Amino acid sequence: MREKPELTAEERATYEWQMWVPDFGEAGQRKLKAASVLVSRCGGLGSVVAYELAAAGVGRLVLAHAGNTKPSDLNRQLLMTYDSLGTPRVESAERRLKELNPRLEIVAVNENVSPENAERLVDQVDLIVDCAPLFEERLAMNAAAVAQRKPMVDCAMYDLEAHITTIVPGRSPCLACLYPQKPPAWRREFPVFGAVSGMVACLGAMEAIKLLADFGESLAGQLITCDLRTMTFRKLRIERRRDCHVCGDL
Amino acid sequence: MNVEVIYTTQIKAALERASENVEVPDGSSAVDLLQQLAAQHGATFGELVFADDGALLPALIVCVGDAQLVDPAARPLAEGDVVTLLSPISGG
Repeated sequence: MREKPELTAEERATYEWQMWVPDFGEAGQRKLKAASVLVSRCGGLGSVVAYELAAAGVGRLVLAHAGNTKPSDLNRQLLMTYDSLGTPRVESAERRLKELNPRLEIVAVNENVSPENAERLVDQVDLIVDCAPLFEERLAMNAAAVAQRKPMVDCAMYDLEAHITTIVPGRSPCLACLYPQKPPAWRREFPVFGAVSGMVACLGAMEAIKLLADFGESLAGQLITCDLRTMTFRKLRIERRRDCHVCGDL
Repeated sequence: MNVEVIYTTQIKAALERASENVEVPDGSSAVDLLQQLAAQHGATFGELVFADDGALLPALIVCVGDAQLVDPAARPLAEGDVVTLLSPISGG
């Protein structure tokens, strides 16, 4: 993370309410201003994660998402608009985020994370929020995050259910501990409401803010499961695999 | 002995139920329980839990109570245990 910059008068006015949060304050706000986050895909999860981080005053976002906006994005991908149909998603995301926070520095990358670019993308940031649908890209990002000892918040959803955990390399299970291989039955397209992705995305954004500003307790070593059909929330203890091919040596 | 099994995400959708109570022989492990359930529910369940070679899918997270079992074959279940099956899910 860069040196903690002073806040401007405009920033003090903008973030006044959250600087009243105990253990956060102006020191926490300066940490967010100095921080950078990679959001992998700006879909149902990543749109809301990026929006909350932009609202909170994170200084720099790297947004990685390939392709153009489609009609089926618009039930949940809240940084995409009707007017942006057929145009690159990252352009719509950058425009919407700048409308909210023109001070925000954005690196918009019209690519999905892959084994080829994961190291380069992770190298640009302090923290990663994984919001991607394909296990190949999630595991590539996990490997780069572990190699660079950077924390990664991992969000997932299905139907009215969601999972979230925080990976702190060497201290918690990594994604490859939980999913050593690509699950054979996983399908990229699945049932989900935007309210479900938005809910877990807000949890993920708050995890990122806590880690960056160093307050509260992270979810490292724990996985929250939510089922909004029954409004059931559980916190489960998850374990490292000693033979994990990604983090087993840490 | 009787245990409760909680199904989530894809498994819950495939079985069209969120949970069930199951009688298993004393000393059964979570893997024994899953094999019994695969025999009862058939391929729809089995494909989400076991690989082609019959081993447990590594990406299935099995919890007893509020804790993950790293080796679901190692620990015998106890009367009243609640076993949760977390099928892998993702973003989008």
